[in-house]
Amino acid sequence: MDSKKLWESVLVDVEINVSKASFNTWFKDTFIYKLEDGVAYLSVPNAFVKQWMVDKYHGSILKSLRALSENIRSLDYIVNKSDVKREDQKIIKNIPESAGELPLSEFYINKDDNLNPKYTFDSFVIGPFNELAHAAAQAIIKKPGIVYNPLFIYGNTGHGKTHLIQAVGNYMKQNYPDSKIHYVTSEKFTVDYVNSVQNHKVNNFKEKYRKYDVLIMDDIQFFSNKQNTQEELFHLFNHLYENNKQIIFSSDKHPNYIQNLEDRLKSRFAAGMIVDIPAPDHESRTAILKAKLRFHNHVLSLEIIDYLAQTLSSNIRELEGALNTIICQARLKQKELTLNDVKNLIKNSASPKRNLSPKEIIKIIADFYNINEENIYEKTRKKEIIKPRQITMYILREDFNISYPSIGEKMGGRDHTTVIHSCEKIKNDLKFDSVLSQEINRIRAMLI
Amino acid sequence: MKVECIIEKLSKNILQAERIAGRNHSLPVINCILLEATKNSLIIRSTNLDLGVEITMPVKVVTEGSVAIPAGILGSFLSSISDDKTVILSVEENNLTVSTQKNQTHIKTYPKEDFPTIPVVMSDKTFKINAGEFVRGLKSVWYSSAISSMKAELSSVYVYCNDDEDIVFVATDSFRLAEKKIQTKKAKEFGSLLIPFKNIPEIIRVLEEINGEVQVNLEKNQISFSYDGVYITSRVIDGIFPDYKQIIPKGNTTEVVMLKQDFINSLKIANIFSNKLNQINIKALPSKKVFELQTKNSDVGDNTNTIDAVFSGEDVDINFNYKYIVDCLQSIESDSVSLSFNGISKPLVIRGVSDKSFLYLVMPMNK
Repeated sequence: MDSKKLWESVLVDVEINVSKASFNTWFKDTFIYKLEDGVAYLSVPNAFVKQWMVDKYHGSILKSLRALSENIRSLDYIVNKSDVKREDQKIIKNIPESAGELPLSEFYINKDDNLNPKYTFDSFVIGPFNELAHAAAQAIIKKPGIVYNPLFIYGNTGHGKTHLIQAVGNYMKQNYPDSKIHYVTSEKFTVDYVNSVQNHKVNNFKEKYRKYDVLIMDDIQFFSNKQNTQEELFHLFNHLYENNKQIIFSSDKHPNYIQNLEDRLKSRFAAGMIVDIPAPDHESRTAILKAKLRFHNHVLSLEIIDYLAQTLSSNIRELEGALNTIICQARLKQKELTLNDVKNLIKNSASPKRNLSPKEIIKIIADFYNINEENIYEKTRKKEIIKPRQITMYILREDFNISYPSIGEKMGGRDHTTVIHSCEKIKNDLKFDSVLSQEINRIRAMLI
Repeated sequence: MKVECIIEKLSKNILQAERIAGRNHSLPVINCILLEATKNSLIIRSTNLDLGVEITMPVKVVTEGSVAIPAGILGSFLSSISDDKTVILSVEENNLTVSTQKNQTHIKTYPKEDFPTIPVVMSDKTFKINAGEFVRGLKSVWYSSAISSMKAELSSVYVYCNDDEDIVFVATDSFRLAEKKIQTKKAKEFGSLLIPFKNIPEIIRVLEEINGEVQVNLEKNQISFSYDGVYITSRVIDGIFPDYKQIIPKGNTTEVVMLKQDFINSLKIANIFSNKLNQINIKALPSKKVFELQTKNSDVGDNTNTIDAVFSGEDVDINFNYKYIVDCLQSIESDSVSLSFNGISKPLVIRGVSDKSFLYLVMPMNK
């Protein structure tokens, strides 16, 4: 039995006989330092613990030790604060190493700037959908801090925002080695800030972020509702902006639609350039697939590429995931995959739009608000009915592109102006009602 | 247990012990103080498992015994009593009864068996040191320690003996550094040690009460001070303090000497207008014989003020954190201070004029 196991068994004995609080106070960070000539040397974190062990637990620990291992005769104590700590740190460091298993490890992330070298302009596929954003990024790397400052890129998840902004960072790093570049997610920024407040080190936090020449901040929609972090961002922004340091933001929404974002921030974002990256069109998706295939050194028939581009329409990340699955399968089976194989493989990852009839949609929305389906068709002005009804019209119009008159007809013979009014109303309410937007998002999730 | 003693003395000792007792420790007895009556003295103990104190005071003991009570209660009670000279403490069942002429108090007790023992430092390394001098050394530097405990060495005060047999106290948080030398006869025996910054205020408070010499016992992990019934022991850190000597600039490019009080007054004014970063701009211009402090806060306003000073060297325009500069001035004993600049990105050295014992280093802020 090695000393670690031995000590664990002793602790089990001890834990039964003492209260939880005393156990945590006295036995935390203790371990057997070494076993030598029948003497067990117990490492304890400080002299108080040592004294207490000697006074209170010496007899019972020794008894347990002897019961478990016959050749232990006596017990001694070593105060060993620093070693314990070092060991803890080692354990923490070891975890990521053993968990990082497969080839991606070559893409280490630089700790200073947080940039992932995987994202470069070379691997960025330009299509009609993102050429404006790409052009803006190109302008920035020629004259950082001067042309479009800040650059604000928004678009849905998986449209390549992170790739583009990190590519700017990586390019700058290579071509202006002296400039300090930093990529940070809004979440990391918030955590940093909160920690600095907790540790009374706000100044360090400020100094840390103010020294950068290029600051790239990803997913800033998560700043909504975080007033103090927003304020800090505001000051940081002003500082960097005044000193002509380039700032790049990304978000999944236009700044004006980020809930609870302070106006002064919105207006500052608008001062530079705001670019949208919409969903990639079919040709771009095909081009992206081809680029990824080249990167993986793999060949797929045009038919399959076309099928993938067709089915996985909205999200480049999904496209990449599906492609990885296919390549992995092909390598595993060591043969070319047919179109049918591919269809089978990605039937789960693809999310083709379900063909819902307006009736089914109405049912889903009625269920969501816990009202009777019939009520939606009725001509009642009860508040709890009006809202679901208007949302139904809004969704039918926005997501399913049904014409106003035909929506009116399906909603129990209403006039098309009623429908227009409802859609406008929801659209307006969405701008400041975050609860409503959450509800609609949840409904939309059910409709996919 | 039953004892009778003078309120004033008891109150002072209890308050001292209560300050050290743990706060919100998961083991409730750590948040207590222990009173123990033996023969003809009362022993008061408290600890937060980092620092421990034991105070022995002579009292009239009727029956021996001991009791653990929550810290804070007895102290605040005793310090507000003025109706009597003496107080009687006695234990009845699970209560400590505190009675004076007009007051009758019961304080809940905790199981005293769980109260930790204060470690006794037993080593050959024992010597006496002047308590006042030791406190002066600690006070001159401890504010410069790092508050966070990421690096144990930086969140402690480094005390060691140098070649001239002075005891040297050093603390740094890597933005500024304070060093104080104290001359004493017994420096040699000190060797070197790191006292955790957290424990310094309590050590200072206890040692401040002491006139004359205090007995010091030192071993690898623990240091203790004992004097006339008071025993305090602290953990010491097992680590290596950074080699700070090499960052102290040898010469200087600009030197300014001024009255300390003038400098303090100007800093106070400047601080009113300092911004969130506490940034203060210092212009030392020997060419124009101008020493100027400037602060700006876009929400409040700005201020520029000048100080009469004696100059030598080159012009320099540099920014600092106000707080870091003002911190050190309390530790400078002479009437005038000298600021030695070494260019924009090099540390500023602050010293008392004709006082070699104290040295303070502060890094400038960039932009």
